[in-house]
Amino acid sequence: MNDGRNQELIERHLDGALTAEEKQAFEAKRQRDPAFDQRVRSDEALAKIFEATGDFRFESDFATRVISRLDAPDRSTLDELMAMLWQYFPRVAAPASLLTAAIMTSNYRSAADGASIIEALLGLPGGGLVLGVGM
Amino acid sequence: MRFEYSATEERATDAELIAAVVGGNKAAFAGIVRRYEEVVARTVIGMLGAGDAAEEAGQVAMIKIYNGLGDFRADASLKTYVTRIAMNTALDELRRRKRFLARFVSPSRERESDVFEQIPAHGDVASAHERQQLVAAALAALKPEFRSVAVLRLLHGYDSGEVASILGISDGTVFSRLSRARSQLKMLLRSEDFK
Repeated sequence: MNDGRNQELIERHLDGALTAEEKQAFEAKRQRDPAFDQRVRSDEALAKIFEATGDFRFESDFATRVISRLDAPDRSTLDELMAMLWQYFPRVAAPASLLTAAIMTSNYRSAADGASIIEALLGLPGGGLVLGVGM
Repeated sequence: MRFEYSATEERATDAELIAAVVGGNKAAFAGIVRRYEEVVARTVIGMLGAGDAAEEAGQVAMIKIYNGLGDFRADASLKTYVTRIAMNTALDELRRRKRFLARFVSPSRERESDVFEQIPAHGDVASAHERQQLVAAALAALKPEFRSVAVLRLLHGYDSGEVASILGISDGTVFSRLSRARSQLKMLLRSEDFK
């Protein structure tokens, strides 16, 4: 008998749902198989532990908080979008920063003599920035 | 604005409250929230542990229930419907956490240290609150697929057919997951601590 079938019998025993015939066969199995009997006892004990946990409750006035939220604008979509942006930000920002630093380093090393630091980092030709007409 | 619980609400059947809510009566939904708060709390606290995440999941579940009441069919009980929504909301939160942890935390750290350290040292367990804490910590040690059957079967007392229906799985899957869940829980909880 596979484990799933054993568990089914135990669950039905715990629910008091075994027929008279099944109950007889179940008790006979417990008598001849000590490991199975121990398993049933420990499952019964576990059920008692869970039965004794009492009521579960949220903090007081839970209903009021729920009703208030029904009228509030739905933030779930916005919250999900922000969470997704935060999730992917490290993946984008870190490689982009490294790439930018690598390009700037390469530009600086190959900059012409006399180029300013900004011209060197940006890879601009030396001799002054051309900002527009008339400069 | 605090919604007071009225004697009328207390006597109303689920069908009457649902009809009132669908008709636009938010105060009637407060009645449904109060009536099923324990069911939702038991589900989300069992799945997520007590704390802000469970409170948030509880509120989200209730809002989903509110939004879905117009389509609710009386072929299932409202309690089963509420449990199903609460369970799916909790499972969604666990999946969201898993995606976050997969990106930023080593899996071995999540599985072993965080979870087992939550289980309080064994000793006499006097109050229902302490029992709840021990039980919640033990449940947190289970993978979500085993935790969900344990919460429905052991915390709620649903039979295997109801568990299968709520989770959308076969009876056979329920029994095999229950077997695994019970084995793990028995290792973590000792009946002599609960005298």
